[in-house]
Amino acid sequence: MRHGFVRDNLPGLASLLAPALMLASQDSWFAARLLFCAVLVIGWQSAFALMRGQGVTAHGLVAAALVAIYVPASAPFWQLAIGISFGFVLGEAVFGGRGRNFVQPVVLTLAFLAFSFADQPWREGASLPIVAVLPALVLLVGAGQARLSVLIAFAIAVAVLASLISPELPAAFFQSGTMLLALLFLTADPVTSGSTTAGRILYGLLAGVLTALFSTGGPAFGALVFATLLASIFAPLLDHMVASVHTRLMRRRARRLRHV
Amino acid sequence: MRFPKWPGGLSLISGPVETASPKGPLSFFGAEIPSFRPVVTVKEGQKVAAGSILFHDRKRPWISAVSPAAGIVSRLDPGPRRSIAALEITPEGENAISFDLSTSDTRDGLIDLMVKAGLWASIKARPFGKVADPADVPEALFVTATEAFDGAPDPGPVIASYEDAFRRGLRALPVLGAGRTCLCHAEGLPAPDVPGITTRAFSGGLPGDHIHTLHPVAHGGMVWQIGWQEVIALGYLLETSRIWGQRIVSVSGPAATRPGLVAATPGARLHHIAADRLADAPLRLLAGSVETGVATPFLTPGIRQITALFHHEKPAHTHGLNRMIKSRRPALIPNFWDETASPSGILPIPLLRALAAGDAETARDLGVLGLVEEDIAALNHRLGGRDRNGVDYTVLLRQTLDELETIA
Repeated sequence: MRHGFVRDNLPGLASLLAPALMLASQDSWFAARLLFCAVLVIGWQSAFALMRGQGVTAHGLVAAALVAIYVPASAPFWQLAIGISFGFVLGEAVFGGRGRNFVQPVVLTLAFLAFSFADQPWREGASLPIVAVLPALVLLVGAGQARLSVLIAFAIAVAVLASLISPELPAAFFQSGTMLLALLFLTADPVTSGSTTAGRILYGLLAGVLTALFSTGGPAFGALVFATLLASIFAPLLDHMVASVHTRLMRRRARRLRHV
Repeated sequence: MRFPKWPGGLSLISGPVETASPKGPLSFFGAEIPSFRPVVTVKEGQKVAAGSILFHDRKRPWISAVSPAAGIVSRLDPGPRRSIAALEITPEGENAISFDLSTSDTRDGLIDLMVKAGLWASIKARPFGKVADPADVPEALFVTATEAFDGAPDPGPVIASYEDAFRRGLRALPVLGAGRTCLCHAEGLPAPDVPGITTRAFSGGLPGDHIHTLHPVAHGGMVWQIGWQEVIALGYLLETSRIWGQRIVSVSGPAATRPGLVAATPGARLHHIAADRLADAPLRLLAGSVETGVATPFLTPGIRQITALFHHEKPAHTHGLNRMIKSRRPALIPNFWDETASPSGILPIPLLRALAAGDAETARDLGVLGLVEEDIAALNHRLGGRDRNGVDYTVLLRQTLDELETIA
């Protein structure tokens, strides 16, 4: 499939349709929260589009919907405004927009809110059944955005480590739609999850190990968010290491094939 | 409606070869050769024979162009900075130069013959993908008998119909290199058994992939490559002592109503070659494939396919909201499907990011020296490339290679 709206933005928007409708049916303020988040994200994108020519993409809507889904229903809008502004300006726009950032802005938003305003249950996440999230798995993997290398490495790391320290974690993990959705959109974000296959596997393992470790001291969703933030900071380093090893292997292969 | 194709399947054009009736003059520029400074050796009104040299490069005299047919230089206009704005030959008569073949079995004799017959410019050296310098000795020589892009002529049947010339050309080539001479052909084709030639079947068609598999040059070394039609031309020259004044070109693309093969004279107008094969609609012709094609009006050396595309008026997204919404320099967002189009032996996303950032040293470590434009053309096309307001990575690749060549 060629790049464009149908491949790059539509799968993300379509994947979030079922979770958003489900939450909207439970919480009468969800629609207002979604609209508020969307206006704020698109507003920051437009500001940087005017100042720096970064452009406005439909991915902003996806990110806004993710924030709206994951913040608690009791969160005041002024806190959301501060969190989103921090996350999207300092996490993405100042680096040149989506594709040039190294942390996921939604992850940064949630982590910032969890640090700054301790009165709200930011680390709990919404409760979603896994059925509502399965379309997202198919769509994002099929569109080539969420990589199987990240997902499988993450699952292996969580399963192995959790069997050692907290046997009930994998069950909670793999049955909850909340975690799967966060894994697909936040941990396996194509921009921040590494740029080489080996780098993505290492990143997935790191994120899985950190999630399992962090979840011993708090809710699993908060653990996933902070593990993703930390792992994505290390992703460029992992890629650099992979590229160095690749160069060395290619040099050795060239010497062998050229008989010199 | 065209469905997305499973990667790997390539649709090549085969079938009967029609001869394009020569209409109008043949035109030559030399503009397709990078940093070419021509010295014109003919005058306006002069009669030329098939095989007489028209112009050569000032600093690299081995890059030359010959007239593919006998005729009269009907137009010769100088262009800016000593380039050629127009050089036209009106075909007339059958006069052809008979080349001296007595020394063609030695390296110097063969080089001299190929330079005089205008064939040397078809030998490209890697790294950098420029015309080979005869003073260098390559570690290996690659003959590419495959095609990598949709709509190219299928080399198998064409080579079979010029079997003798192809064999003769292959037999002459090994004296050029110090190492082996590899004939890379498509899978399932009987390879001609010629002494001194290593044959190897490949499923992919890019010479860059073949070179990476057999003799990588991304981290040192140098190889030369030559295309299959030029080997036929060399064999024809060695058999008949006259130049092969035509090339087999495929006409294909969405706007071609009757795709097929045409034997055309180099320098002919693309519209004359593709005449009565095109849809009756506004269209444009590319010399090359959709991914690699350039909009040139004439058949330039090395071109084996003509792609006819429907011409769509581009809406001018230059003001108001559209300008705000479109990113001025779209960032690369990695996608699995795009990366399937990357050439082998490189890490595509780090390499493209290094190219976009102008980081020549990182690009060299990532193997950019093994690549030329056509290797990343498919990837570039998928990423938006030249047509759809994207970043043209082939241009960035050439800038990086030029930078590395100056510091090398």
